[in-house]
Parts: sequence; structure tokens; C-alpha cells
Amino acid sequence: MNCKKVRQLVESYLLGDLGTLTREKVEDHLKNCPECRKVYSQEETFLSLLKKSLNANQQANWPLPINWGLVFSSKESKRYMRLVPSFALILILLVGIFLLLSPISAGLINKINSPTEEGSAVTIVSRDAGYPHNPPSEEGLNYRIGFY
Amino acid sequence: MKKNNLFIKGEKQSEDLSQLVLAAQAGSKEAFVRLFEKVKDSLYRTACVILENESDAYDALQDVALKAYKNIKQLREPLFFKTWVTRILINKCCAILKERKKVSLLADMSVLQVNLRENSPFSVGVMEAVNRLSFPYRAVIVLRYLEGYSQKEIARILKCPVGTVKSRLNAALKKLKADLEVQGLWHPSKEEEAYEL
Repeated sequence: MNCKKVRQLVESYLLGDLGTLTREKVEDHLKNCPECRKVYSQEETFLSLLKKSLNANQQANWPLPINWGLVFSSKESKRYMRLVPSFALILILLVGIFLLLSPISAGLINKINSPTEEGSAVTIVSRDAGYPHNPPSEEGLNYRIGFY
Repeated sequence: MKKNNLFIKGEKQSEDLSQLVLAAQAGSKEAFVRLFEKVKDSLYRTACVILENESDAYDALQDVALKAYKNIKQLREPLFFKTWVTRILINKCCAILKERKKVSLLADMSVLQVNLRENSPFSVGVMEAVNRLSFPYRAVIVLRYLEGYSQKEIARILKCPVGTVKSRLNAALKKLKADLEVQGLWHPSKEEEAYEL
């Protein structure tokens, strides 16, 4: 293991983050390399001070108790809210079905299927009058009336 | 080479913790409360350092409790509860800091900073230097040196590759050292005993 690799691993070595084999290799290198030992020593000092400082600055007052009522109630309300789109969809479907089956829609369907009045037939004829080479037959006219 | 006892890794999550997670996932409110109480102090510590403000840290904690309770069923591996909940906290802290940038609070000199003055100049200097780091660097420093997470765990919390965690740690340590050196608080040749904590 070379010096560059060992210096990269010093931090992990200090925090006990290395496997047995790598740790032994680092230790072997440190025994034989005074320069790396110096780096190791500096890193050890710095990390130790950093860790102690971070811990020293911890608050004496621990956090206020968690408001569990708020936590648990939010989940229940969320569950209820999740059902709202489903209810809305069912409601729309029911309204649609009701309208289709209601007397108003039945009346509309009858109106569409009922025999055409004379006025509408005239309108259709005037539309087809634009095609002089292919005058609409009587059957075609009826078909178009039904279609329109 | 002398054995280093200074760096003790963070508490391993016990079997008890994963049983509590399973119970909470099954819908037990009591289990969730007990579970959260176990990690609450660690979360609060982390939030305090990242947010530099006790009341924001408490708000973050309350919000994390709410989100964790709502989404506990999404947690696949019960042993990862602490890292999972820490990730929620880090995301919340990030959101609070972004919000704070927009609002640019004048009252940024928080309770924490007032308390800092009771500590030694070196400790205060370290905290101020940590607070001057940008969020990604501050987060890795806090998770690594305050909470004792491994690089892999930090990668899981921050949802980034281990290589990114390593490079952020290196960069953050370099910045911290440079900052403290400029302030005259740190010198590489000094022994640990020379610093007053």
C-alpha cells in the first residue's frame, strides 16, 4: 500500500470504518513510514478535537415533547382525504347514469329518433344542392336527415 | 500502533428496535412513540447543529415524527429505521434552510449561538466554522463526527454514492482546517493537549 492510498484511508481507519485486511495493511504502512505517521497523528488530533467540540456544544435542554396528538390526527385526516376523489368519481358516475335514464334524456333520444320535420329536410336539401352532378337520392336524403 | 478509543461508532440498532418497527408498521401507535423516542435525541442534536436554531430544530423534529408515522409502512428493512428517519430529517433541514434563504431572517443569531459563548474559544470556533460550511458539507460532518455514522450509512441517508460522501468529507475537513487555521485556533504541529476544550 502506498502513501497516497494510506492518507486517503486514515480518516476511515480512525473511525473504525475499515475491514480487517485493509486495517492491517494501513497499520503496517504506518509502522514503516514516518511521514504518514505524522499525517495520521495530525488527523487524529484534529478529528478528536472536532468530535469533542461538536459534543461539547450540545444543548443541555432536550427537545420539548413531541405533540403526538397532532401526529396521529394528521394521519386519520389524511386517510379520510384520500377517499375524497373516489367519492367524487362515484358521484359523477351516479349523476351520469341518472341523467341517462331520466325522463329528460329519454325525451331527447326520442326527439333524435323521431321522423324529421319538413323544415329540417329542406335545410338538408339546400346543403346538398352544392353538388349538382350528384343529386341526393331520396334514400340518401333520408339517411342524411337521420345523420344530421 | 495504539488502539484508538476516541471514535466509538454510533449505537447499533438492536433487535428490539426492529420489533418496534414491525409493530409500528402493523399500526401500533404505542410502538411508534417508543420507537421515535429512542432516536429523538440524536435527531434533535443533528437538527440543532445543521439549523443552528433550537426552535427550528424542534419544528423539524415534529415534522419528521409526522412524516415518519405516515410513511412507516414504506420502510422495507426495519434495521434501517434510524438512517431512514435521519434522511427525512436531513431533507426537512434542507427545506428549512432553503426557506430561510428566501426569507433571510434577521434573527439568525439563535439560542444556540448564545449558548456557544459559554464554551471554550476552540469549541465555539469549530461550531462557527461548521456553520459556515455549505449544507452538503455540514450534513456529512454532523452525521460522521457527531452521530458516528459510517460512510456507507451516510451514503444511504443522503442517497448518494459512497465516493461522493468520501470526497465531501475530505473537502469539508480541509475547509474546516483552513478556516480554523486562519482564525489561529488550529495548527497542525500542535498536540491535542495544547487545545483547551
